[in-house]
Amino acid sequence: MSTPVDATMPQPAASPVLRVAGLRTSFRVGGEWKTVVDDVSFDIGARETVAVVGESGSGKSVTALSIMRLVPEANGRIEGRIELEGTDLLALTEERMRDVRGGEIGMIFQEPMTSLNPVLTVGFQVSEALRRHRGLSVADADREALRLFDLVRIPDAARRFAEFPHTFSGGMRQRVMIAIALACRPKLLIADEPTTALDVTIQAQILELIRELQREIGMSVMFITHDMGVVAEIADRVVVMFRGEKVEEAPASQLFAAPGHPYTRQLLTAVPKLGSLRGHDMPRRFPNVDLRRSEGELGVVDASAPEPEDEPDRRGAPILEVGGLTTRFPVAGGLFGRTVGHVHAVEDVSFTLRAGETLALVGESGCGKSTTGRSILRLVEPAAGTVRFEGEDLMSHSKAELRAVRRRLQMIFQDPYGSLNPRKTVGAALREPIVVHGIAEGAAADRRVAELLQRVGLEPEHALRFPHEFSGGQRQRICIARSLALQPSVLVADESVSALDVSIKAQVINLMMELQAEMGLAYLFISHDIAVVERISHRVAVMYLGEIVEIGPRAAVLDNPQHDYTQRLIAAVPVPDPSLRRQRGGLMTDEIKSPVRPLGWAPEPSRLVEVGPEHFVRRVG
Amino acid sequence: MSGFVLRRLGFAVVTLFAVLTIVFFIVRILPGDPAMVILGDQASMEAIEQLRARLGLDRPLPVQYIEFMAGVLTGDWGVSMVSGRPVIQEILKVLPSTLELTFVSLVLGAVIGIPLGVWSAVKRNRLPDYVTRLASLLGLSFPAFVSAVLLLLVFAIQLRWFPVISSGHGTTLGERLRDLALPAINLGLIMAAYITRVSRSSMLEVLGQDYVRTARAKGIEFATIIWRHCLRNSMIPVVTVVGLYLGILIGNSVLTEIVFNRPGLGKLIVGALNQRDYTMLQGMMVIYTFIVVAVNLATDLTYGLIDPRVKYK
Amino acid sequence: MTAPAPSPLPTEDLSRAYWRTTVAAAWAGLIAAFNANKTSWVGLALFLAVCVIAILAPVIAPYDPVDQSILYRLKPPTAAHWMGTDYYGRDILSRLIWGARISLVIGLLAIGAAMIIGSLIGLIAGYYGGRADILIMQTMDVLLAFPSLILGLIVVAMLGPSITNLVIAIALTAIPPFARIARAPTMTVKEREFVEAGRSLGYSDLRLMLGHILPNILPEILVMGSLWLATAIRVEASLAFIGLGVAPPTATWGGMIREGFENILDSFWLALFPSLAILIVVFALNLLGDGLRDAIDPKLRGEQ
Repeated sequence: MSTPVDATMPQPAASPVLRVAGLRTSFRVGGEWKTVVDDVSFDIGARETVAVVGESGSGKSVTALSIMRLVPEANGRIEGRIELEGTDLLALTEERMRDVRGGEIGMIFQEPMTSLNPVLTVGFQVSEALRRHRGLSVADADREALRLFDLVRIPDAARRFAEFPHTFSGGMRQRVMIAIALACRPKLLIADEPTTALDVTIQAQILELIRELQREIGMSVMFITHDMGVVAEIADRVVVMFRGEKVEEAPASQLFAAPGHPYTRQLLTAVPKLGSLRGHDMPRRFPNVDLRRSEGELGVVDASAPEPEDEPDRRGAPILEVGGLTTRFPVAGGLFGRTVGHVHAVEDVSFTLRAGETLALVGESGCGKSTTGRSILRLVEPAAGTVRFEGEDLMSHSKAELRAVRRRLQMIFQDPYGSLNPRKTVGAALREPIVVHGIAEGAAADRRVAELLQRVGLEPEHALRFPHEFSGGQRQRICIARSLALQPSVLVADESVSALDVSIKAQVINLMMELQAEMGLAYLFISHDIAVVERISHRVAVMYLGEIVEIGPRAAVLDNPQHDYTQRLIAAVPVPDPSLRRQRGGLMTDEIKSPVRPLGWAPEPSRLVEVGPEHFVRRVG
Repeated sequence: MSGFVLRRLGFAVVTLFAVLTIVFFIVRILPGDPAMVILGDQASMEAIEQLRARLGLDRPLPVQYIEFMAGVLTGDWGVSMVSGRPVIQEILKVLPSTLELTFVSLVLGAVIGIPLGVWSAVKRNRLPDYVTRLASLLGLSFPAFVSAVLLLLVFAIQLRWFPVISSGHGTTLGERLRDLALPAINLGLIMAAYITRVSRSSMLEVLGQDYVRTARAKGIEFATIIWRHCLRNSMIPVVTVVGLYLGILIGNSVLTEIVFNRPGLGKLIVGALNQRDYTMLQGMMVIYTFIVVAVNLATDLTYGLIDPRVKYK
Repeated sequence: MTAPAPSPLPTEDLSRAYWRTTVAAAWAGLIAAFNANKTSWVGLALFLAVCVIAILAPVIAPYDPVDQSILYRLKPPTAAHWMGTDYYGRDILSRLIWGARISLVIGLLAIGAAMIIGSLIGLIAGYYGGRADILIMQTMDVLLAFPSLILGLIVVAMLGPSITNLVIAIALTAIPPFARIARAPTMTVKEREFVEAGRSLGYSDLRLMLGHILPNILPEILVMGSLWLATAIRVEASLAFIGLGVAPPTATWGGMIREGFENILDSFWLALFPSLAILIVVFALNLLGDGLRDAIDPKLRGEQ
């Protein structure tokens, strides 16, 4: 493997808080030892934030678990030196290590929804840490825990102290986790992808919180992430990991400006920068993307290849017209399970999609973008509204008529691991729609399957393999191939790249844009990732609480947002450029509101007002 | 919380009515006329008609249904064909004995099973785990009457520690305990086998949860993690399953009562079957229904106590 | 960047190739499941041994199981009668061997029927959800709540003891658990995106249920099948013990224990051998099913 690139930089004057030297962690899988972290070394200085970056399989999380010695002893092995202010952690007894965990090193994890014990109150879980490490009495610990609640800005702390985790939202639970980790004023905070599962506005709040707490407590932070935007926001120095090894280490500004290692360069070119298409109206592909590359491979990056041009405008006549779409889900409750309210998932949504165009639906959790996609396909039944597709009214179709229409209106889903039947070979899965809809049979069908596989960058032999033999990006490409089998004209992509690694995302996006150019496909691109949306979309619609609050050409909406939710949303997106690091004033604790409403609730009257050519904003009144 | 309790109570009542209705129909859809079955095919037509009238079988079905339901609720469960005494009286005479046996067996099973399962989970894939798993598997492979017979052979006949035939009417506590011992051990060990397995798999699942990782990252001792963080969470499925297994327990108690010659519902129902005591049979099914519904209700409510998320459902 | 030369396209119908691959993968999965927990091989071996013995009963049984003999009543194990004789002078070993047939036949038929019917019910309930689901599952829950022995007892008492009726009775008690065990994973699998993808591709409900969901819940159903076979054999023996088994003089293990129970004080071997036989078969099946179940759970999680 290529040699790591260590930027020459002045060593921190004081001795480092954490020194990792030659760390090697291996797991025994099926009788063999597999090395997951291979000879990794780095330092973290006092009051310093070091970001550890990598994609799946890089070993970054295992590095953190190794430092905390949370690796299972039965089949895990840690070698090397890990020094916390001079003390070798690997040489400590388990008892002493337990004092370190929580007392001197605090750790927060990725999934706030499952990281708290559901049968214990949140207050208890925080004060438990205090009692364990600082020997406080129950009363003193509770008081201090309450103070910590205020510190992490949990509103209404006194009342929420005795409540259970399931009454808290994801962002709030993460704040509780931070309170637990910081309870004993540790020297080092290890944060393992703490904001990956959170919405972007909540992520901004949590990042701001961590920064502020770091200043107050004076601790060091090891921040593990795959998001280069987050790295640019918070890191002083960056460690890049790939396949278990450290491939580069540099101060943040230097890494972004002049990456040394080929993997870092590849990573950075694949990261979409919100604002990079400012002034361009049309979508543009990612540069230097190797279509055939898989996760864990170092693709061929052709530095001399020219930057791709803007896509030409190939859009045609309107092909999908949605008017007043409304979908609600009943909420059961009360004594006999009566309906006590509704989730207003989609409320009076209207838009038009032209042939060959990409319209993006963006928003955070609960905004209704996924439900909109499903309602159009009638995978869930809307309560009201019209959907005209290729001139036909989908709402009045019977099940049989719908089935015929579904050929031309397809959907690609989010989870590459769940989208394919694990018991069917890939070829059988691709063949099935072709045979079911009578497009071809026998050898002709199999030939079509092979063609489809090749189109998405795979081989015909892959037809005889099972889904679990492929990586996430490959599976998503297989799903795209499956949708193409029926020769659709509109594809609804519901968070289709959200679960993929950064560099694989770019690959799939480029593939989608190629197919659009070749076949005149129109996309309804549903996503929460605005930076990706910027590259692929012609037009953007922003959704909040089931309504479209702003819709227009991509350049207009993203460069010149008019609705204040859109402005907040765009401001919260972390940009992968440290020189643009923002100073946010005033910590917000706004929760994302939920669209659950009581019976008979009617929205405030509002309408879409035109503020520019084809650019509409929702205004009350 | 009270909403939850009321909901569960309401549900139990509805289930009760549903099952009693099924009982009603089962007993009347016997192939062959019950009167003929009781009297034999040599009986005369008048005798059969008389018996049918006595049993209320000549009235239209909806009327029979209302009489049946009313009777169940007021305590008039008919009269035994064999002894002539009210069915409910016979049942109530032996009910305490069966309940006593069931309860003690359940406690024994839980006291042995839960800690054993937890221990087995903590020592996963090491020797104690293998031994426990094998032993529990063996334990629940015994049909209840086989283990009862073996227990009888060894402890009562060979070693003479316990009486071979228990009277069931012991007056002193010591006598009652001696009578109870072997049957309770029989059922208790079988229950322990089931509970051990559930306790183990549930604890293993809990140990793999993210919040246990959080607790370890807080530096909490392992024993405290098990006791404070894991136990309540792992008991949730155990409680559910115990309620289910109570059905198995009641079924096995029939066999145990026969082998150890203990008075109880088991012997009563077998007697009713052999003697074609039609009303007694019906009464037996009613009492079993009540017991089962009550147990389900208790399980649901316990569930609500342990798991704070349930109250909000 | 030059693309590699494209591979040649297939020229014949590959559906048989897909089928072969799928079957091979399923077989490999089965072997892997057995290997995950070595004790399941032991269970399988024991069970198959008993099956072989039962099939070869006419060949290997030394005596006719209903052959009475006044001279050799209640004799303890000797060279002539390896397991002794019973109250009527019949050879216990032969009765044991022939009794295996009854137990196995009843068990296999009952569980086979229950598995098919119960799984279909659970599949339908889990797939359609809503009111149909609530109605079906309430009924199943009610039946489930009844102790299976009592339920079986009542059914046999009403219909009369015969092999057919025993099969029906035991099958009835086993249908609700299978419905339950099929319903839960159906509901989980139904939410997985490949099912939604199938709907958006225009597949019919029937195709989705049988072609997509069923293969994914089959492991759980089969494991349950082996465990319930053990229960079925236990229940059949219990019913025979109470006196509701197949009518004498046919040899059944439960019936033999019942007769043995009456003579337990002095001729304990009458009860001992059939007890051991039941124990061995039930234990073997439990080993088998349990080992497989352990293998299936983490594997399912690993596949994600």
